[in-house]
Amino acid sequence: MASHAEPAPIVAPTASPPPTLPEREALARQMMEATGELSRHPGDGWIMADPAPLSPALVRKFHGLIRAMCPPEPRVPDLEARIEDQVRRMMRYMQPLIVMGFKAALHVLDLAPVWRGKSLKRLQDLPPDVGARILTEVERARLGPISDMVSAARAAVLAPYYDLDEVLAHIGYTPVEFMRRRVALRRRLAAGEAALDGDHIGPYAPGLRADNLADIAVAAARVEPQAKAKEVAP
Amino acid sequence: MTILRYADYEPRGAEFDADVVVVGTGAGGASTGAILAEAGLDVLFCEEGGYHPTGSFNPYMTESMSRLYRDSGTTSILGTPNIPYVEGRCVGGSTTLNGGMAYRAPDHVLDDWAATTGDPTLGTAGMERHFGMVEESIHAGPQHATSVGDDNRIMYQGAQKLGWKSAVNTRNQSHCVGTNNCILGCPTGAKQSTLVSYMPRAIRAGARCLTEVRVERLLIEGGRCVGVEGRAVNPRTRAYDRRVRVRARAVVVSAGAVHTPYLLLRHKLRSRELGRNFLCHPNAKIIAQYPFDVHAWQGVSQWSQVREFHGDGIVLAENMVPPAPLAATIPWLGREHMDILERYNQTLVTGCLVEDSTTGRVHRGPLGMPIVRYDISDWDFQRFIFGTERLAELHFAMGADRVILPYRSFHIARSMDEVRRVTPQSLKKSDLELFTVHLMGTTRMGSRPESSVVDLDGQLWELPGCYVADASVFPTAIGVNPQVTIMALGTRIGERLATRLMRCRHAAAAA
Repeated sequence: MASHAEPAPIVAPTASPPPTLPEREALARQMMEATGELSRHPGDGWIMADPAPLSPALVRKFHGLIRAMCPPEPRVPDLEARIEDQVRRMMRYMQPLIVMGFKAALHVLDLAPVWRGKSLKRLQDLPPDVGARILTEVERARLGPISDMVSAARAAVLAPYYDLDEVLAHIGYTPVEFMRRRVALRRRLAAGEAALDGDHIGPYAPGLRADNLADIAVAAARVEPQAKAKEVAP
Repeated sequence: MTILRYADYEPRGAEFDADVVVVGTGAGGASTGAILAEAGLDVLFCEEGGYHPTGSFNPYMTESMSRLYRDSGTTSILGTPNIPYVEGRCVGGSTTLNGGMAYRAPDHVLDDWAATTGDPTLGTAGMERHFGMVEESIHAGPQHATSVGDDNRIMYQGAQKLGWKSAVNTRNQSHCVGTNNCILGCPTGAKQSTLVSYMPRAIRAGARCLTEVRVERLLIEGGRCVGVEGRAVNPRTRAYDRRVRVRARAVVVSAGAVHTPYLLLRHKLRSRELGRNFLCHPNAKIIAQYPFDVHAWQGVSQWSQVREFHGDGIVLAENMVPPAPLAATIPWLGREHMDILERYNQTLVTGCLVEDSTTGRVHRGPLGMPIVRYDISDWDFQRFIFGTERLAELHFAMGADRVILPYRSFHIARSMDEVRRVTPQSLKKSDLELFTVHLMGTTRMGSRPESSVVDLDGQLWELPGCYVADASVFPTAIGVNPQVTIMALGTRIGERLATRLMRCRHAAAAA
């Protein structure tokens, strides 16, 4: 069998000299180190791509789609430009066929009011609430790939929308302070300190019992590391 | 330098030499590479994505999708229904982004593998040592009590209320404190992805890592694989414009169950099985909203799973995600959409995972794009409807006031009576909204070349010197989260390859 053939003899590698042990140790530590920085644009040396090219006409169509899809409240300054910039950068990372499909969707959906017989105006020229109604109809009409275009466009527009600071604050999602506290807690636990009562999460909801879960988790923690899941009878 | 980026490669082309080149740094690549490096071999990783250390992770989705996910998360399986999937494209691969479940393949699966291949070392007893090594490396164990939030309390107590069995999950974590940011990278360093477990081990042992390099072809000389060639991507334009070539005595391909066969298919190997037997554990999301705050984004993901229906290949679990990915998947637009998301703090995202009963296939598509075809079976369809109904039952039993169902034509249910209106007869398969992250099985391992792609050492039957170490070597679906099994097989493949290469080294030295 071919797989039993022996590999060629090993020769010394010819690449640049290997890094020293302290250099390798420092890199390994960097990989694992929690800084608690949590910044939106982390300074890890990574360069984000420039926005992908879009013609002015396509940008107008895209802005019309953004206005139709995004909620009217909270009002966000420069909404269309900020989502456009983010999506155009993301497009650089996508497969070329997906990018072509996205551009086609911008054309097709901009003309949705016309080919649905709802208006002689294009989506970009309609009030956002009217545009939203038409797009919802298109998605629910089960028009195969065209309905899928609405789903894909919604993901492309609303994911960046719900990543904006103003919108996250509006819906009460404030993870940064919580995460910083948890980074600090992990440092304490890793240093051998015991958890305090205030380190537990919740319970927030009425009727939920914290006690039995905590008991079970503590009991489970005594189990030898690994093994398979321990089934808990009700 | 140990980790190289685009700027480090010569514009005219860069050449490297190593004992072993490992394509990919996820569960399979990193575990195999670490074993090889610690055996004293010169290992060079080729990673398509970038290097992002623990300190760079944050809770913001949009930029993180481009940094960490393949194609910014826009990948999809074509079929009925289409199934979006995601996988990592960064150092650590998908282990950087997964939920951190640390399950071994079940005994019956391993024993089936042993029986099918005729190799007892693939069975439960034979794999015990490798699983043990992996679990020690990634600190597999149950969660600390401080990491459990209301989402898990609801799931666990809901199962108790209905008399269902639950299983406390083992997770690959060290002092996890429940930031629930697993899918965007663990900012505390607690989740033991390969970024913080196997890769540091490999680096300490002298391995090097080329990042931002997409491997496009294998170098084959005299019928033997002797290296790889690819191109580095310009970070600003995303143009692949710097050639990178690595010559090695052995090549380990660990690019995942889609991109491993995609790379191998380029070389027109004759194996009928290459690209076939694609498996993906599809799952459906069921979103519940409660009339009180649960702050489900605080606390570990999946402290436990509901295992009552595991005999039918159905697992139910909590799976909370940040607002942006949630917003991308729920229906409605404008004001109606905000009506749902304004209750984010009262929302709980849960999933119904179904073990595959059918298989799909990976093809090479145009413009560098793999095409994955997969259609769910009638039985899968029925199990999704059953599992969705059970999850809705749990939520209503725990006081939810509405549930968003994964059906295109029927999204909101406010009672179990409404949920029960959905039957396999009232829906079509294309109405299901599914999702997956477990991709497996396209270069399956076996003892005969006519029914498998790689042998029991992970080496391609048709191409000596080329090994595969990732989920694509699974002979069958495993029904649980696959990373530990991938790492165990990676360890086994790494050990066997190290033995073979060191034997050659000693023979050469003696000569």
